[in-house]
Amino acid sequence: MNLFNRLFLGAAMAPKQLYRSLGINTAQLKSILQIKLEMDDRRPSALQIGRYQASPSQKVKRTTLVSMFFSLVLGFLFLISFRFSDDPATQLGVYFTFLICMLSLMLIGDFTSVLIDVRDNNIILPKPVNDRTFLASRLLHIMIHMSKVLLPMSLPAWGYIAVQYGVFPSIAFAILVLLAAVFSVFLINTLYVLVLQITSPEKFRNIISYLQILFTVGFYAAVQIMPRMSGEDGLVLEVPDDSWWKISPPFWFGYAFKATVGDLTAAQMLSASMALVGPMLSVWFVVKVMAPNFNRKLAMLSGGGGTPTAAVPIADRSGSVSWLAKIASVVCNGAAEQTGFLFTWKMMLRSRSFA
Amino acid sequence: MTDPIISIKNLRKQYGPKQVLRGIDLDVYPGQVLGYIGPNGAGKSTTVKILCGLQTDFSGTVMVRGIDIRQDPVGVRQYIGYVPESADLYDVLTASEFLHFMGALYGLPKDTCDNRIQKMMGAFGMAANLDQRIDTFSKGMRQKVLLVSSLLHNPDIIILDEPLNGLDANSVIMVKVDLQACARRQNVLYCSHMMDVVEKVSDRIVLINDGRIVADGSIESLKQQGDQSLEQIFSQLTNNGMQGHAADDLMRAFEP
Repeated sequence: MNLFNRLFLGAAMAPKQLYRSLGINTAQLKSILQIKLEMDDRRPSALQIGRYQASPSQKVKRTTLVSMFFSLVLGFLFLISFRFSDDPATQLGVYFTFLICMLSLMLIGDFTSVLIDVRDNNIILPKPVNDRTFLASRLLHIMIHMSKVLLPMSLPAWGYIAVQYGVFPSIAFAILVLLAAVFSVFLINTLYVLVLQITSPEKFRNIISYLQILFTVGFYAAVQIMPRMSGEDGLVLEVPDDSWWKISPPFWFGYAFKATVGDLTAAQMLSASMALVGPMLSVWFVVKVMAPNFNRKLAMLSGGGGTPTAAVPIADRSGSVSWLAKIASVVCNGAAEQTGFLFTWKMMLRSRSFA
Repeated sequence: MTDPIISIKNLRKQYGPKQVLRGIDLDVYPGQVLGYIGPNGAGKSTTVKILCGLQTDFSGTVMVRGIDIRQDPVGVRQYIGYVPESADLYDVLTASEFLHFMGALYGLPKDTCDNRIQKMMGAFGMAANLDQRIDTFSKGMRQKVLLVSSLLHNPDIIILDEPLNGLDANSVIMVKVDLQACARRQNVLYCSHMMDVVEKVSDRIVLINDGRIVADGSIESLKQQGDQSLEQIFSQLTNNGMQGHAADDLMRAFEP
């Protein structure tokens, strides 16, 4: 176990007495966290997956260090938001747009392996581990996982703010980053629940990967569009007061930060207060409204794919295939070529790993 | 007669509109190897999951060693070693890391855990593979790790759901001998489709079909109706005579 994992584990296990008073078995909790962190370190991250797929025999190690370094580099890139404007609210509004988008993007993929590790149901749950210990292990694991991304990602800006604005604003910034992280979890959770509402659990994983693609496209589009939105000299970004962006969550945090260094109008104060109220409401919403439904759906997911689909009568099948067969007979010569065409066509539509 | 170690009364369970278990009554006594058999979808795995405290939304009562599973599922799990049908393992870990983790969850002291892992993996011929990652293992090797992980804490009751999946002939023989040895000290509940193995290792057979027990007794008592193998009895009680036509239908497929 590397140094960072050991530090995070130590921090997570610090309030032992509290855990015990909540009915959590701390020895089991520590074992579960230890093994989960060890596994995280060997699971290919988004960055390493290409290398891993190229040569699966090559064992992935030190994922934690690689992804923390990647987050740190991103954190430095985000510093560009402080060059766009002199207004602290705009600076931080842009910064939190980057942060929330990137954090959600990086975590949304990990959540499927962290939150929905269905193997836990067969490995940990049949053991004498009570529900509270299991729940605490999941929550702490997610918190550690997020900290590994969030800490290095926000460190450069934190340093910049401490130098540029002073100690008090930098403390406020640290709190705002935590609130933004809570809000990101809410966003991710909402997306999951929405996806589960409108589709079957079997398609869930596929849709998550499409979402990741959309997020990536969105982020790069933002990087491309933003400089064009800025003024004549190419660096000044002016967001009009009636812009939707100004009332969006990133600007809640922007105004909340500005409150520590300058004066706000009444409308801006309202927006700033949302930085606190928004994440708190989202926690309440996730715990009270979403979690029960989410857990029920997840149970279906782990139950092996929910309800079996009804068998399609033979007569119904022919219609959907025939037009495709016609295309195949027009564009291909011979049975082998037609079969190849039909196979490729269907694989392309049904399997996302087909490439 | 002694008290049953597992006592199931009027167990019912449904998934949505589908009734999976329709009133199972079953008492298992110490020292028995119980073969729990039935066709796909009969409710075997559901019964097992309820026994392990993995599903709690059922009706009826389930007692394990006198403990009501609804009241204290964690207490019950301490006495059970469960080999699930889906051979799930954390495969980026080494066998040793995984087994130590399992031992820790059962609260075993590290020395005891070390000792047992060495001996058990040695018995399965896998002592040399302890420090290899599980993702490099064959299916049979994974199954052996799974078996060791469920026996590590010396449970009173061993529940095996298709435990011989993927094992080679030698390992199957070993597991069979092992099961019979275990039965001297522990109870074994054995779920399988492999009739010949069930017939050899079980001293009591419970056959379920469509959520109900349709036969219960020793292999000898089940065979009393005629000189039949367990496979034939199984087919008679669960197949509704479909099998006779199946072979003919299959052969007819080659006709122009």
